[in-house]
Amino acid sequence: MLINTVILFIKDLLPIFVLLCLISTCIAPNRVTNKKRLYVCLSSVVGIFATFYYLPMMGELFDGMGIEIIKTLELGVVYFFLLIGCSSLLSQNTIAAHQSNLTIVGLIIFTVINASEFITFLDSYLTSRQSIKDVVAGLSIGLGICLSFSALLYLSLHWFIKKEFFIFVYIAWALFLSGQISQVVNLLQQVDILKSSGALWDSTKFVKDSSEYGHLLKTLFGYEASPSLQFILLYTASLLLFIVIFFIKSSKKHHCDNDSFLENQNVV
Amino acid sequence: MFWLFVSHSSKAQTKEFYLTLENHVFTPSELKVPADKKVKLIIFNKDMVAEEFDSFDLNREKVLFPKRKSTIFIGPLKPGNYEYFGEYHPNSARGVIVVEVKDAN
Repeated sequence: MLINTVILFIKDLLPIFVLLCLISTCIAPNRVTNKKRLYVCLSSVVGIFATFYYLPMMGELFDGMGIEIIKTLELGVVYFFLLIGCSSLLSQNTIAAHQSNLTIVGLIIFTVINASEFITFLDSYLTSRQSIKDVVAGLSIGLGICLSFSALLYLSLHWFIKKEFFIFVYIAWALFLSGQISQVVNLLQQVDILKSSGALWDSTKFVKDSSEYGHLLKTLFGYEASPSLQFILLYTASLLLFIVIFFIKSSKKHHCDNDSFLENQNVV
Repeated sequence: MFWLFVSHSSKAQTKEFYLTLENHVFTPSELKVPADKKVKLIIFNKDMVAEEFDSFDLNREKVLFPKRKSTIFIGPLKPGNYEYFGEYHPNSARGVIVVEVKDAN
């Protein structure tokens, strides 16, 4: 039970830690007001427990496809909100208010999706009155692993920011968000909305989905040992969208730099 | 491109198979399904607590709420064994879906 709690903690909650690290590259933590922090915490807690409470009823919606459809919509919203937020990295200017707000809403929805699943697991263990000691130990180890990993990731990302290698941080964002949005393929395939096809390849021999590395890679960039064609197509489309935004933002920045250079020349 | 993504087979034609979860054990622990056909798996969780049906082989993951039926579509699959387990009780809640060439069940 101890190992299982650790694995589920990493699987469900590590993505939230990773997202917090990524968001810290766009929005400096010391620039977030206490009021906003309180709003994020309260909204997340209310959202997590409301989702946990209504999850069985949500499951009955749309002929038993409720959870998959709602989660797909939520992940879509999270994806686009965070995409808008992280695109501020490319202009290297201060994040706009609307981008900051969308990023925060994206974080809240993402936290609610992942944490409510973990609460369902905790409720299942605590209701069956199994060893609470093991669950507490598992939670402590899981939290320790997530905090250690987050510290490393946070320092790495901020080293890139300090050295002005914004593109590497943008790539980390692109891989993380593409991995998250591609999960909707499996969700929609299991309720027969999307067509299921066989796996394009099988890399189980190298990294198993069920292994610790498998969970970590899945969190970081949506690793699947045996992905379907639809999964790969969505993943590629998402990466292409990031590339398109990169070129649009870069050309805009180039124009702005040229304009300011010309203005300076005229002044001189 | 549209046909590549959207499922278009009639759900009425899809064969149904049943699994039951009781005392954190799936029955039958070995379920035979036909190869190269999409099948509908209906899982009834008779326990008082939730469980999560999880299968890395099938790329499926669904929470099974207590005293409720849940549906998962799987396949078309190649012949072979596809393991699944209950993520909250992986030691007891385990099973395998055996995909056979001949029409099963």
